[in-house]
Amino acid sequence: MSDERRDEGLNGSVSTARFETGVPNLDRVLGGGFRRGSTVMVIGAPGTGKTILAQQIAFHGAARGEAALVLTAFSETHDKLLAHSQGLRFFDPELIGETIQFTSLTDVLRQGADETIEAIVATAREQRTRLVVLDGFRGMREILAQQEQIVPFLYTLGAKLALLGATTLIVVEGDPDESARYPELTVCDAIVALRRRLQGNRSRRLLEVVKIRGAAPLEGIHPYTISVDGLTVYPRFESVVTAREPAWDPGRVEFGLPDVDALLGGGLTAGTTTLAAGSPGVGKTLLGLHFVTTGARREEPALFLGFMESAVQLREKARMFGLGLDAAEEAGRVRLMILPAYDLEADRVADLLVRDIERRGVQRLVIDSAGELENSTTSDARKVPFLAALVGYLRDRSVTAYVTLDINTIVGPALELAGTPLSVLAENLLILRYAEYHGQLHRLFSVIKMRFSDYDRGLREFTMRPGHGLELLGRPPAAIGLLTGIAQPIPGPLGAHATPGSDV
Amino acid sequence: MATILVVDDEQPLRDLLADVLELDGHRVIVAGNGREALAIARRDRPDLVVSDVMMPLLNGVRLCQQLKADPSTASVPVILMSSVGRRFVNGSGADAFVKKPFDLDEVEAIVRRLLHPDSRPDAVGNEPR
Repeated sequence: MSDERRDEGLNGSVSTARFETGVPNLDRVLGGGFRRGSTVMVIGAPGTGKTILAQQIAFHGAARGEAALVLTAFSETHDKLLAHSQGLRFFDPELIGETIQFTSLTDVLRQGADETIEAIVATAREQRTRLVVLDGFRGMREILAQQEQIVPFLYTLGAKLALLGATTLIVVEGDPDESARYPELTVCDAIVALRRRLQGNRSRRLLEVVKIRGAAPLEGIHPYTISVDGLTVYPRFESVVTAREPAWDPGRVEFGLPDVDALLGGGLTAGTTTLAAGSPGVGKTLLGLHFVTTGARREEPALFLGFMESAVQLREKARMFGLGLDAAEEAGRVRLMILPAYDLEADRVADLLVRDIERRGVQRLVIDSAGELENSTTSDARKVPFLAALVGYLRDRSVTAYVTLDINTIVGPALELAGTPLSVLAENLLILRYAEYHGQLHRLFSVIKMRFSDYDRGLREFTMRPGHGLELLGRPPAAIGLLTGIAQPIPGPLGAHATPGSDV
Repeated sequence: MATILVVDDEQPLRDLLADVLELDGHRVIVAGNGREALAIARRDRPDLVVSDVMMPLLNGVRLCQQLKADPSTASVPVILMSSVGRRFVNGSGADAFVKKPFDLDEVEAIVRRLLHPDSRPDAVGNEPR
């Protein structure tokens, strides 16, 4: 599990080996994990998951035979601590006592700092401990503070345990933004801050590596969740995407609808992102289903990330239009990933996307829709960097993406694309919308931009036919303002003779 | 009246147990860890040891093993108490095991039985051996 190449704690040298925390993505955020023998502080307010994090790390190591010593003081007794931990999946009672010892420091602390250090070091040495957790350090520090011993205590303890090859993990309840109140922060090799932030009615959990010596952590704030599996960290997506210039791919990625592909000059350009903006219910999702099922037929793994329609609804829609989604899913070529549209966390969404893209070698991606993805960033300031990172990542991986965007009005003059950064970031822009003409609604399709390809600039009317799917009908009636949704006949003989669906 | 050594690193639990056993008419001496307990046991020769398992310096299992290995304390009955399962205390040589959180009546009954083995068994402890 660990890099033991220079794990030389017992002979007195400083170890550069790192150990796995076992907390999903935390080692990546830390820039490779904690250095063995280092003094690490986890600081955060009550309820941020500090103790769970420490125990998760301890149990992960213990499951691999690395002994851990969890020391409590005036926070909760170790019996209570154990009782509270039993619902967590990583908790293995078989390891308690043998590989993980939970003991209390309340007695020895009263005897003094030196006696406490001696007791901890002797216990760690006797049990060949690789990780010492001081849980509830706030209680300990109050006693040590009376003796003005906090900094020397941690410095001496950390140094002695490092010589034994043990890492010291200090869990302290406090505000990481008030570092002046915690002089002991200076002696720590790594500081991890856990925070809770209210955003509207929602509480977000955020992790930051405030400091880590000798490593390059991922910059910024990283959201995390707590479940029965413990903590899972989702690295800030912008911090993990590397800006590279991918090789140019001249290929085309077809919808499998000859008329649509012809308008696009043969299909979407490979490795690009396409924004399909349009009125609700006009057929954007259906076009997305065409995109993934055609991919499946061509043995190009596809992922459909949806937020509003359930997997059952999507499958039924695909069945109605004869798209063969069931077979594609059964063959493992299409995966429907449906996430609830509420409480979304952009970095978690990105993590799920990235994992599936890399695991299955996804070549086609549908995101339905951009609105939920943008809302998941939780702040306007983050929309552009997050989406730019996503588009860059997809480009780098040669994933061709089709992203839908709802235009709020069904029929109306406004084309509200300016609000989404994707209208700029995406290489291609399609419009699918309704237009009212002579008392009837018509569905219109047009290609607004394709950055790396010629394309047909004309408008096309389309329909959705059961058993077939989306079908282009031809040019719409000659009229002024079709894309505004409310068309006016062109004055004169040309307009007078045009009929919906006919070529002009 | 018997002399009982109560060993636990959690002071509230240690004090509670000491109070209960003193009310039962015993003389109680206390220790906060296994190392301290071993020294006291060798010096004061208690009639019974009631010890926690997970403690600093010397844990309850090792304390028990060392007491049983020393001819001067080998005959002293030992009750181990822990919130962890009994697997860890197997091989400790303890005379009884009590799972935390425990019922004080149960602990008192085991104490009585171990101090007076010929008396009527009015409670059954979880014997680890």
